[in-house]
Amino acid sequence: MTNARMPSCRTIRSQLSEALDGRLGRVESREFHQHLIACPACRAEYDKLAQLQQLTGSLRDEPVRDDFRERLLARIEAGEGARPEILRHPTSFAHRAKFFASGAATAAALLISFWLIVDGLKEGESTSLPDNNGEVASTFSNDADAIDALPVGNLDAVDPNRFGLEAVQRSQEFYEGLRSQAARVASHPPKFAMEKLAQQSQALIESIRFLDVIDGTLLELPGELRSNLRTAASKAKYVLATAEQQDASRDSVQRVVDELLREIPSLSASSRSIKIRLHGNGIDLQRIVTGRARSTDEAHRFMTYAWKHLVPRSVRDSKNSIRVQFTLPAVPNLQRNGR
Amino acid sequence: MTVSSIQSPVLLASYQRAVHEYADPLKAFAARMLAEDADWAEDVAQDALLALYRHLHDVPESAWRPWLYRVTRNLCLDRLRRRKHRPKNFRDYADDENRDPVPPGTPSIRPEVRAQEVEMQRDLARAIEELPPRFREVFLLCERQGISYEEASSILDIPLKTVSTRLFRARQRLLKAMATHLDDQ
Repeated sequence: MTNARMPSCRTIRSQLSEALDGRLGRVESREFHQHLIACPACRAEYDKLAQLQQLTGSLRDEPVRDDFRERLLARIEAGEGARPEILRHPTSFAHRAKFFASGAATAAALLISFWLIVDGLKEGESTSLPDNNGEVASTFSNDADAIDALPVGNLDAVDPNRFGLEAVQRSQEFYEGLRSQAARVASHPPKFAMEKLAQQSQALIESIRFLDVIDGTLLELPGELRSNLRTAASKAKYVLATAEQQDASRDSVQRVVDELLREIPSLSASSRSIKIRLHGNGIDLQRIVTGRARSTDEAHRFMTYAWKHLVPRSVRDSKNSIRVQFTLPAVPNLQRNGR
Repeated sequence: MTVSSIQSPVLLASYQRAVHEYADPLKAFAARMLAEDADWAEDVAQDALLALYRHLHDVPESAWRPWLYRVTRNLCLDRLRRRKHRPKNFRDYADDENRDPVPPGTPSIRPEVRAQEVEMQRDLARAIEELPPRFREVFLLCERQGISYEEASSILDIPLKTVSTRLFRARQRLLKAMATHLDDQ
């Protein structure tokens, strides 16, 4: 097709791949889509690429075998070094190979401890990690067995100020991730685009819900930030609700993207702006979460979220060892009747 | 470097998360890069993660992901180069037959539709395997692993524009290979 005001089919064909990945600039993207509306041949080509992308996304990959980590650990324990060929190709990341023959077992022992902890979080096993003095920190003592069942430990080494800030920053990252996703997926097949946006929205909603749970107890968020977090959460809920509709169309994707890209509230915060109420010798995060979660399942998710994503970050600068002990039997039924 | 420097609990916790997060994607990337030698994919992923452990203090945490992909890719290229010297035609189709390309949880559909879908997925997997490695690696990184053009450019040490061009060409080749299926839609 030829039109003086529109890019030629040749130009459009060369842009198909980048358009599919949402990499065209605003003006280019508009011209591209206008052309597609008017040119059935280019549209057909674009649709085929989109089908190909969808089909590629449906391919299945084999996960690693169950004993992958154990075998890796055994190699670390054995002091096995990186094979020379790994670093043979010149790379900007590659550094000269340095091996640690001596004392590898000590480092490996620590690694085992961490793996057991995370396994415990996942599988409900119990384990403990000795601190530098060889002692094992005590667990929380709580009245209710049900509360004890939640994955929680003594958070002595956690810097509470950092913990709060990390929790906010995590939400901020999810929000930015969602928005940058939105900028890219508009031209993807609707179902695929919605799935991607829904996943990211779910993560954002969960992280904001966690902040909501600890706000007013563990932390005190500044009013403006609290309100902006709620706005972000309601946007994410709108995306999820739209994504769950059976008939995801280009129009519905576009509506969602427009909503996400509209003027957004800032979710950034400094450690000064967040007041910490509970701090010192261990943070009773468990009690707070249990008291405010809507169900055991939700409490469990929050604790896992905190341990997986926030605690390692919040001890980043701490010179202390992490003193933790988990007790993780199966989570009992602790259904609450909402808040 | 001393061993005590690697004993930082925080660093080890981060490494543990990296193993958890990247073992499957690295294996998946390696399996499709290696194609006929996919049995080696898990070993390659493990070699890459072991290498990272040995270099925890050399590689900044923010660069772990591109570093791991780069090492994995280098190991795959090494293996592919060695394979060049072996006679071809040893493709084991039985493996493909046994592999169920439909992800778990896929809603049940009519058997004939399912069979058609399985056939398309098998043909696509084969078409990807047959891409030249320089196109295949870009396609797998950007399309299968969800890596940005910028990160792919850093992993492969090629200009951003080259990433875009190679991805474009990879897609064109796959479109051609899958023309019958896609026309049927």
